[in-house]
Amino acid sequence: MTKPETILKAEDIHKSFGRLEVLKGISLEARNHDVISILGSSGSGKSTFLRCLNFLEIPTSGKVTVHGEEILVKNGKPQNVRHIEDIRSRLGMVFQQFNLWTHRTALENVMEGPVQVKREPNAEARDKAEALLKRVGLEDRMHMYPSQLSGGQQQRVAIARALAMEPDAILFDEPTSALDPELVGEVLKVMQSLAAEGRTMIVVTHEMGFAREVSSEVVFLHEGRIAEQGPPDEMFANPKTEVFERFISKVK
Amino acid sequence: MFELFAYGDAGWGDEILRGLAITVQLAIVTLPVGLFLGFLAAFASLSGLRPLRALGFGYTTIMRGLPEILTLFVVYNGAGLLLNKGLRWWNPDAPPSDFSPFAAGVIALGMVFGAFAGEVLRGAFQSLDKGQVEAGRAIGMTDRQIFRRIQLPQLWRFALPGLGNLWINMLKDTALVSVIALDDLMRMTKVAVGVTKQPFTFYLLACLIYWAMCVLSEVVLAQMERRANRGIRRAV
Ligand SMILES: Nc1ncnc2c1ncn2[C@@H]1O[C@H](COP(=O)(O)OP(=O)(O)OP(=O)(O)O)[C@@H](O)[C@H]1O
Ligand SMILES: [Mg+2]
Repeated sequence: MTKPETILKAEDIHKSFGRLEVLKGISLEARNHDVISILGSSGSGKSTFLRCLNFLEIPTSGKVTVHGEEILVKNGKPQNVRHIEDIRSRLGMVFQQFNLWTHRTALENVMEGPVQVKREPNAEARDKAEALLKRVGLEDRMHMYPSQLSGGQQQRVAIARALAMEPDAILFDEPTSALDPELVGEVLKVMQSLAAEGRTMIVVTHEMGFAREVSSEVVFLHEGRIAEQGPPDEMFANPKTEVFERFISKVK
Repeated sequence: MFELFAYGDAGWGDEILRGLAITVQLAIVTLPVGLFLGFLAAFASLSGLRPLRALGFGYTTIMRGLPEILTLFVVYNGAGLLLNKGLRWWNPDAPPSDFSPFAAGVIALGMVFGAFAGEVLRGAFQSLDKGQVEAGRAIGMTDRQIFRRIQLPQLWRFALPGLGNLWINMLKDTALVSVIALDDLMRMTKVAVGVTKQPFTFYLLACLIYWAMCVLSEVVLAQMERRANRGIRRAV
């Protein structure tokens, strides 16, 4: 069997906000079809790390490579700024607060990236957007504005919006944390189906069920470092570090 | 009494209408000038560059501190002076030329509108949802695309009520230009009063016309606000 291709690689990412060092050297590699769950207690730097991957946050130093295109950062200055937009268009992102564009309908939200960023023709983008919205179960909500949708529906639109860019990998930052408990399931189900179709995903989550059952790898962050990392079965069966052991006993 | 408002030499109808046309023209030409200055002021005061910020802030503070009529005099006389100086430098034999009161009106009212609009727009910018801007960044949009496709369309929603007030203020402030001899509605009214000695009739007429313009503006603005709020739930 050939070794799966590396989609995304982060090397020695550091990030400080002023004098507060939030990330203290994190490296992570995502191969094709990987589903990596990032766990950690609040403030451990999960969101910051995820946002460093698509440069919503500029790392203080480190290197990010997506699809062979690399951006090296030294002293908070990315060396090839022009690749940033390129890397972003190759990585989808789904936010905790959905962040849909409130002045556009669900369909328009999904079409925006392909039309504006990839310059696809309108008709083509529309067909694709309709298919994607159907895929996340919203074929009857396409012409509604975000304010007319429930949180779970909004998040599914946001997932369709990310998919429309045909990304190499999708980053999720606690995609279900802002949802009412009864709406969590519908979003997780969509994410699970994406994993099943072999999408590369990096997911910051507090959903232990998802981390255990869906992900191929779990990364546990503690105080800006990777404290533990491995396949979920092993990690949850016998935690190697005391901090992770304490973490799972707390969330259970 | 109706012959007073008749068209032609006998009545004042045509003069008043011409005055109204000037007033409307002045307001309509001032609006884009004022909006443009307002955007410049807003960008300057939001800019990362200190000198630009200081410039934006200085402009706003100065304009807001001056009575509108003083601004108008300064522009009319000052700009006229500059114009003549420039003309004579270009051609020493040029006859002194008058700076048009209309242009002075547009510049002065535009500068006042711009200063206030700058504040309205800056506030509107700051109330935009940062998350939506990030979502644009995350799919690889450029700053320009984000501005044009995400920020600008939503800016109206936050800025429209404030800008609408400024428009109505400006519409009324056009009356000030009558003091620099522009034949607007106000001045024609005064002339009519002077000749006919019927102040009550003509001032009442002027009141009704200004008031009608404000009501019309408010109707249009309400329509625009409704459009801008398309899809936004009443209270989120
Ligand atoms: N823009 C910022 N400026 C200053 N400090 C920040 C900024 N963003 C994050 N931090 C700090 O960095 C640390 C890590 O934050 P981060 O949001 O990455 O944590 P997290 O692991 O995602 O936590 P949570 O589970 O609560 O989302 C926190 O101490 C936070 O206060
Ligand atoms: Mg977080």
